[in-house]
Amino acid sequence: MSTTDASSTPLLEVSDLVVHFQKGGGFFSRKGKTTIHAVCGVNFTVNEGETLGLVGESGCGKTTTGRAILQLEKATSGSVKLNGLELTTLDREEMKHIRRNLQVVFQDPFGSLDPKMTVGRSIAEPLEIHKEWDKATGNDRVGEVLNLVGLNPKFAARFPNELSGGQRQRIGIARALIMEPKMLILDEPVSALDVSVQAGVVNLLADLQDRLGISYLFVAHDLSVVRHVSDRVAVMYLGKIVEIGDKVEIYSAPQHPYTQALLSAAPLADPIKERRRKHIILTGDVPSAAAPPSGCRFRTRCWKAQDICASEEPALKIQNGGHQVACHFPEAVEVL
Amino acid sequence: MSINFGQAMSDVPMVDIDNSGLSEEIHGQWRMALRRFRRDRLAMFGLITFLTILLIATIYTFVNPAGWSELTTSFNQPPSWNHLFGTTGSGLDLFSACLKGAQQDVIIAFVVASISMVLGTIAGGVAGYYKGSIDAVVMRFVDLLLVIPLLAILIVLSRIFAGSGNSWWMIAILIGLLSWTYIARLVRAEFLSLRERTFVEAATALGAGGRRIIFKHLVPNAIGTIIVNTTLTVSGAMLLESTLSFLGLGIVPPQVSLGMLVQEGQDSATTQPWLFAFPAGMLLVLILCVFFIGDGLQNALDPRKSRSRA
Amino acid sequence: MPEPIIEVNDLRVDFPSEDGTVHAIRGVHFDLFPHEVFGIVGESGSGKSVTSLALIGLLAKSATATGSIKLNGEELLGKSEKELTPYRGKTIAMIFQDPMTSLNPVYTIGWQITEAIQAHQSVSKEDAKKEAVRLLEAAGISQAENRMESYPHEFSGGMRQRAVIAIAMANSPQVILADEPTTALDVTVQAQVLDTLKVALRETQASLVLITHDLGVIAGLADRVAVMYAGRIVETGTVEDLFYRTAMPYTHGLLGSIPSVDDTGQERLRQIPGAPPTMVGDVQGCPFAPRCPLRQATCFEVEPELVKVTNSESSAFHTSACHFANDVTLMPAASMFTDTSSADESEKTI
Repeated sequence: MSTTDASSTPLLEVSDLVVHFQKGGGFFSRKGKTTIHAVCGVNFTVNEGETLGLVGESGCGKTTTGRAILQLEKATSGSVKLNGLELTTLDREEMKHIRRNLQVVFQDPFGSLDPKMTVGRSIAEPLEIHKEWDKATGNDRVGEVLNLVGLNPKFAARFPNELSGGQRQRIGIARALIMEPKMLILDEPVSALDVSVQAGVVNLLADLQDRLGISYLFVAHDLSVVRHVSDRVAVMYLGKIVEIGDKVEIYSAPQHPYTQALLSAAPLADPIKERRRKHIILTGDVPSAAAPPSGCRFRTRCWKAQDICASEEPALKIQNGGHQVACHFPEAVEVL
Repeated sequence: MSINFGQAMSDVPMVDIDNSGLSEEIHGQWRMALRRFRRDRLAMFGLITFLTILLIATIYTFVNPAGWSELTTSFNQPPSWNHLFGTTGSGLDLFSACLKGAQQDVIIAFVVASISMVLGTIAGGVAGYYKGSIDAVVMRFVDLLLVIPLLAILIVLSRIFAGSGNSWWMIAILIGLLSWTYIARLVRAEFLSLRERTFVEAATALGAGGRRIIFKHLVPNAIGTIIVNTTLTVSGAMLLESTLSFLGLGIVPPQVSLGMLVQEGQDSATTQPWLFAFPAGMLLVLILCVFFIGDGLQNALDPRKSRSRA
Repeated sequence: MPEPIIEVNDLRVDFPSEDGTVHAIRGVHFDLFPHEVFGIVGESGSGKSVTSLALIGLLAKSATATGSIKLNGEELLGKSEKELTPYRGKTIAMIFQDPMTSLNPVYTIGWQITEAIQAHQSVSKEDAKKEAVRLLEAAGISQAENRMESYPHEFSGGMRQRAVIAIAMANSPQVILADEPTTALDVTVQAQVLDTLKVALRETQASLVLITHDLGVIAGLADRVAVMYAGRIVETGTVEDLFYRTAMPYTHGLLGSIPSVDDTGQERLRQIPGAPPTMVGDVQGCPFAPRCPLRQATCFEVEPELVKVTNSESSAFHTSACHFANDVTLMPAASMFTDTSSADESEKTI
């Protein structure tokens, strides 16, 4: 993976991003509206040619963050900049031009392709939308991009129902690539696939990045896949980033208790190591995003929690290890 | 760092090309649907019977254009080789009349179905895609039309238009204007669920606007529902038209429809049963045929049954 | 060796489909011994879930099952629904991926556990309730007394699965059958539920049949493992046999294709080319042959039987359905499934 240049402006810059949803409270509803605090002030950058892994468990706001970057979800406040250009204030037509450089691959390989369109038409759709479809060269471009993702160009004439999950996911990647974007949001791109198929898609994504220099925001819950593909990793819990930094530091010396619990819970496919290592078993469940706890959001399940954790929210700041941690009592612990 | 797609793409593929599942046969949606429809014996029987009756009627009225209105000199004759369905008290050849009536009924039903399909798809599509207040307004209007007794309105309206000469198309438009609500509700439900599917979101993320999403993604995916229910509207319209004609409020002489013939024949149902049985039987056969076709289309187009190699 | 609780012999299950008969299971053999955790791994369509459904007689009506499934020496296959009822929940308890398949949304959790106890034991309502509270506590649910009155929808996914485990423990079964019990859960919740499952095993002394696609879960919990591919067991042995003395190229491929959370290198994942066969029609030769880097002409002609691996370190349980099983155990993992293998032949044999 290519090296990053710290002095240049980042390709993607997310600052203080907040996304709230209103739930319930229709005209005839007796219950009042509740506000779901899905994303609560998230900051990160993605440099050119880099992969940032965004991990967390369901409901932590990682997918919503991805959607808010894509402007598929309206940000309540905060800013999303691509190449220095603010996206949250653009209208639909202006955003359309940005979308050539900002593409997405969805989790569900069975739902993300229109079942009534041939694979070729699905892949060519971005060309049509951006008025670049050319009868003479269009089919060749589709063929090239199919080749690029490791599929026979003859698949262009097929319908999605004839393809396996892995093949469909490759089609989804091909569609995202045809406009030659700079930034790709990958929303759980392999979690619906069987392991042997998953490996092929992970390798493909790595190869594409090497060749094309695209940046990835890799949103996933699977810590091992994130470790494999990412340069840097951000860990989310209840709408906030609790720890962010270089992959090696996060995995070998995690400082936030939640990151430690998460890593220790991920099973290792090695019986001797897996049985020997210490497991941190968290108690209780993730609190509701409608009423997040005061102070540190992890304190209700944290074994280190003190009074200060309830009264004061820990800021995300650089700790000894050199990466950012949002904890009052950070401490590097080896859990793997 | 530079992005050089052209070069990357012209290189030899970096992973082995995956050909699995690439058989010679193409399983397109329509091809699969056609195959399933062809396997459905009842639907094929319905389609063939329906087309045969229509073909005979068209040829017959083309060869013998005045046959259905010319009076013969034989009155109240039971079926014979000269008059397959017998004749009426006024000397009308019932076979010619029935064929002309069937033709008329089918034409009316298709006009009704076309109006219903267009209005229903537009209203339901708009409500389902835009949701919110537009949806509320459209659907409350639909509710209003649904709670008003259709027959009562038709009776009143057809009185107003009665005797205005060539009135069959008036009847067709009236029924059409009042029977699109069923399709509208179904299309709305279909759109509401389709618009939440990931591929619609994917299109939005590619920069597609509302019009493109509706016409390139939602309509093609809802087309099965639209076609099936338009077919069912055809049989519904035939039934409704017959009811009106039977009540003397639909097609009136000198025009002819099966419902009207049934009405004329009902008094002599016991004495001259052919006068009642043939038009009623033909009406029943036509409606059943359309119904079988609709059922077959439902099975053929039902996405839940589509081939999936999950 | 102790007597097995369950003996499965030549189990075959067919389903009719639009494209022809699907041979979901094509001759599965295994024994389940007391107090062991027997893992069954495989990818979707390998037949692992169908195997578990066959064990408790929950196959779809259209399916035909042949062979033999013996529970404590008694044949289960061919028994009617009514004849199987006394075994379900009593001798064999079940845990499914979705806890809502076993919990009834209209009854309280307490009522459902009490009901499960009273279905097989003649105890008073009071005693059954006390036992239910104890079981919930054992399953790691805090304030069990209060939670008795909760309905399933008031529980989180992890808590529901723990309630299901409490129900499974209720009648001290001999066998617990868990089909992807943690697949729908987040990792930290998965760790909680797996922990609860261990408690349940200690408490009931039951054997566990653990069906999963996750080799990490297997590595942490199983004593013996069977790997399924295309409706058959292709390798079985102790976890150590399987992970450290792999004797089947498919198992090698599976192990190589998962990235490890502790892997530091930027090494490419080893991918298995092609796709698993569709299970329609007859199989000729080894079903994995089209994707296998070691395939020879004989692999396409003769389907290998599951035979004992004679590697000196292998346990007595280690068997593999590969013509070259003993060679495979000696091969370094990295030498298989390099990127040059080709995929174009896949799906032709079946």
